[in-house]
Amino acid sequence: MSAIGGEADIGSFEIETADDYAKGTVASGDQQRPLLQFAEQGEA
Amino acid sequence: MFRNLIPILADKYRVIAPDYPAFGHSAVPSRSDFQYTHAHLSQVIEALLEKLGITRFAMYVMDFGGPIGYRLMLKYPDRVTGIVIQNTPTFGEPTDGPLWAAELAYWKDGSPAHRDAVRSKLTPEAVRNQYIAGTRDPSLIDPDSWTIDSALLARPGVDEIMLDLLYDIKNNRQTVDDARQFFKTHQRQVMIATGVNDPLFPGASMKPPADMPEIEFHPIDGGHFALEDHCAEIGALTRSFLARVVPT
Repeated sequence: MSAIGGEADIGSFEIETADDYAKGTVASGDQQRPLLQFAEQGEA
Repeated sequence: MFRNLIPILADKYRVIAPDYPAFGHSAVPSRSDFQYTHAHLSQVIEALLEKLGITRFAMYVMDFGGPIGYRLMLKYPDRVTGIVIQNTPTFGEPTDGPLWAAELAYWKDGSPAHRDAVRSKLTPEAVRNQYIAGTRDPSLIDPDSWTIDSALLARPGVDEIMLDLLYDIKNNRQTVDDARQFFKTHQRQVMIATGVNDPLFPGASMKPPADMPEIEFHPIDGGHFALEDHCAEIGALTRSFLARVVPT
């Protein structure tokens, strides 16, 4: 689970990526899923 | 909404399509823990970009996503290579129309009675109509779209969150005004491909004014969710636009 740094102030809300989820590092509440889910395709 | 556009672009670009909190399959923080405003959702997307290490990007914005993306664009104008705009507050004052009467009353006083009146926009029938209205052939719209939307809306508390966001539209005026100024000075970085038969954001409200002739404007013969039945057309336009604005 990763806290958010940088300039964006989003309080205690945390973003967990699909990568975090795939690695099994995410357990958001009782839902067992990322707080922010997104689709990603293509190369960086 | 973007499920069919993503693969059209992904062979050439890294495509990120986030679900905002309380949308899609993202979690639903309670209203007491999370402020459901366009400004706050913009901060969440900013944080996502930070986390992913993305410092230059093009945006595709639609509906609620317009005022959210505009805030990012205005905060980091040098990071945005281009913006594709579809069926969202842009140039006109679409809220003058009768479809916005309930919201106008709600924005005026925020009263429980006026808040309740806006709930009519969240019924399964209203959600379906948002997909169908203005389309030439409704059979081309996948019924999964409104069925899933309605199921997600039916989760406990999500209706109240949507009413919060609908109320917050009143706070987007300055952002939209500032965005228009940005569009004027960055015309070649803007493409509008929009369903012109959308009763919420009709074509006349999306058409660039005469003093912005270099903005690409593509009227699509569709409704609010134009990507649902015109994805190949909008996808091709988006690829062409990105090829022009994204540095290689």
